[in-house]
Amino acid sequence: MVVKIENLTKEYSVKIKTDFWRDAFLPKYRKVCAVENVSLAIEKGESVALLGPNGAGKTTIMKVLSGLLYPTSGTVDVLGYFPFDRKRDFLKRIGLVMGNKSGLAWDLTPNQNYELSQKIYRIPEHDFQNKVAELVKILDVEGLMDRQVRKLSLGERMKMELIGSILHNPEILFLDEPTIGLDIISKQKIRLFLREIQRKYHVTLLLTSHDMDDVEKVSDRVVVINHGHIIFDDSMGELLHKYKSKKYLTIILTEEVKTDVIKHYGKILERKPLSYTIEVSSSEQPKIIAEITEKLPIDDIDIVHVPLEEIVSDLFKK
Amino acid sequence: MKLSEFKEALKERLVLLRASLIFTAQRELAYTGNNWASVLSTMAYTVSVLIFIKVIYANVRLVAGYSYNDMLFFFFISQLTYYANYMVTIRNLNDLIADVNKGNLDMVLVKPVPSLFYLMTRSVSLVSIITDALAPTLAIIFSINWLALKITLPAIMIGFVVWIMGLVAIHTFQLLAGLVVFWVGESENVLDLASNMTAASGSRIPFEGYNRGFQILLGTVVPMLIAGGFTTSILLGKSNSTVLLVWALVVGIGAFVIRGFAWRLALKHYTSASS
Repeated sequence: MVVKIENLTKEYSVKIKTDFWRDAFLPKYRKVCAVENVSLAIEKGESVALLGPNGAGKTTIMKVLSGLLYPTSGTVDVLGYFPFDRKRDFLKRIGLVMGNKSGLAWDLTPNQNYELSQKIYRIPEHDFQNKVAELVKILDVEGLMDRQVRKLSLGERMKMELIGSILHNPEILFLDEPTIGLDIISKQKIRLFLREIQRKYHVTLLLTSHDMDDVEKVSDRVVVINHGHIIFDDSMGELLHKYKSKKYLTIILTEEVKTDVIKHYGKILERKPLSYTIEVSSSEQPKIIAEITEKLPIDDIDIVHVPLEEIVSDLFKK
Repeated sequence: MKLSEFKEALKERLVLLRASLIFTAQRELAYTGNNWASVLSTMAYTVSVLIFIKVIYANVRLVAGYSYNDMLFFFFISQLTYYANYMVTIRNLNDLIADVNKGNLDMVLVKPVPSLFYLMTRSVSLVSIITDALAPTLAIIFSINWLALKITLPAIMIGFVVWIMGLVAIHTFQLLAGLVVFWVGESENVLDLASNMTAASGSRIPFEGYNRGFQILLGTVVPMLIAGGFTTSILLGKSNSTVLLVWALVVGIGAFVIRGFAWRLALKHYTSASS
């Protein structure tokens, strides 16, 4: 077990807005519970996604686990350490990437930044050179190593951040929205990269993301948090299986058909000119397709699983 | 702490300091054009103070027992204090405040380094020290009649220790002001206040110019007199150096202990900016 949390609670003080003079001289605060009695255990080499709406508490959990925040109560054990003690040996074994924060100095080049990391993490020269060369090749950023970080695109910078975060071979990598704002190609590269390092170096990944493709492609296990509580904790397969009984059919028509006719086959989810998306049960799907094909002017039918985004959104509502 | 652990901790800090110095120099050299403005700024300030002292002493022979030449020497020590304080403490504290305010401290705290030491040495600007301080300091040095000053070797040794203790005390005072950011989210102005109360104000009036009450207050709680006032007084042989040495040691060591305690407390209150 590399991560073990028991009954973790984290409270923040939030200023209460009153009137101008009171705010200026005697501000009042109230306690807000970001995480309440959360328990979680993660095995070595697992890739776990923490999901939840904004303010659910997922980033707070990640920050407690990486030693940035002091827990209000509960026990936290990461690699045998209490993270907030920030022991050197602990910090050498973790890595953190935050999509909206930079660990690299903007005025310097990636190479210069990595050289500082080499000193800080005391990485032997030979290992350092090999590792940089390997990671640079995987992420395809060879030509950018001597360009100022501020002159890199967001996607390029993110790739450099990832390289910087794993130069020292961390056992656990915390990833907070690592693909936020990136184009589809960069996202794909980063997802493949994360899977690759997990497979090759047995790195434990803990990811938060609002992009469900990240979660599907990178994680094996999903932990859904809402209002500071865990509401689902199981494998990705199990999460998808729960919604296996439903399918979505997108019907493309060659001519207009009345909505009432379509309604007869299933709940209408989306309507466009000459196209409907309906929800049907998996068991009735073959029968419905046969009927539709026979009775309606069909151009094409597309069958899809319930998207992960909707599954998670459905969980949030529960 | 065992001797071996102490040696290891010291070695770690030296390696870190060296890396940070190189790193900061690289950052400064990335924008060399910007450095000229601060050279002119420090030069203009130095020249204006030199003229001011000249004007004052055109009318009086002594101020607080200090001759014109003594006062130039006091200004010299005060400027050294200011540069050391600015280049090490103020720059790093401003960076720290901005990092806490924006949540970027996250990326520093996960590095396997002694956090406070790293944060207070990561922007020690050697290039700025040379470019900004050299010319104005030479202007002061050439204004002083060094042969008229009777500075002994023991006074230099004691003065150096007192100066370091004074810098530690100022550093802690300013750090405490800067750490307010952990509770209220911003402390730039609090740091400005603390900075003006210590390194800057300490250069105006020599130690002997204050009455006993102010000497105690400004040599302890608001430690602006130690680095500049005490050191100059010891070097010029104007006060009992043993008393000032013990005083500076007590305040400096006390400040160092408070510094570590305050840092740990501040980190417990770190909330990090929302992502």
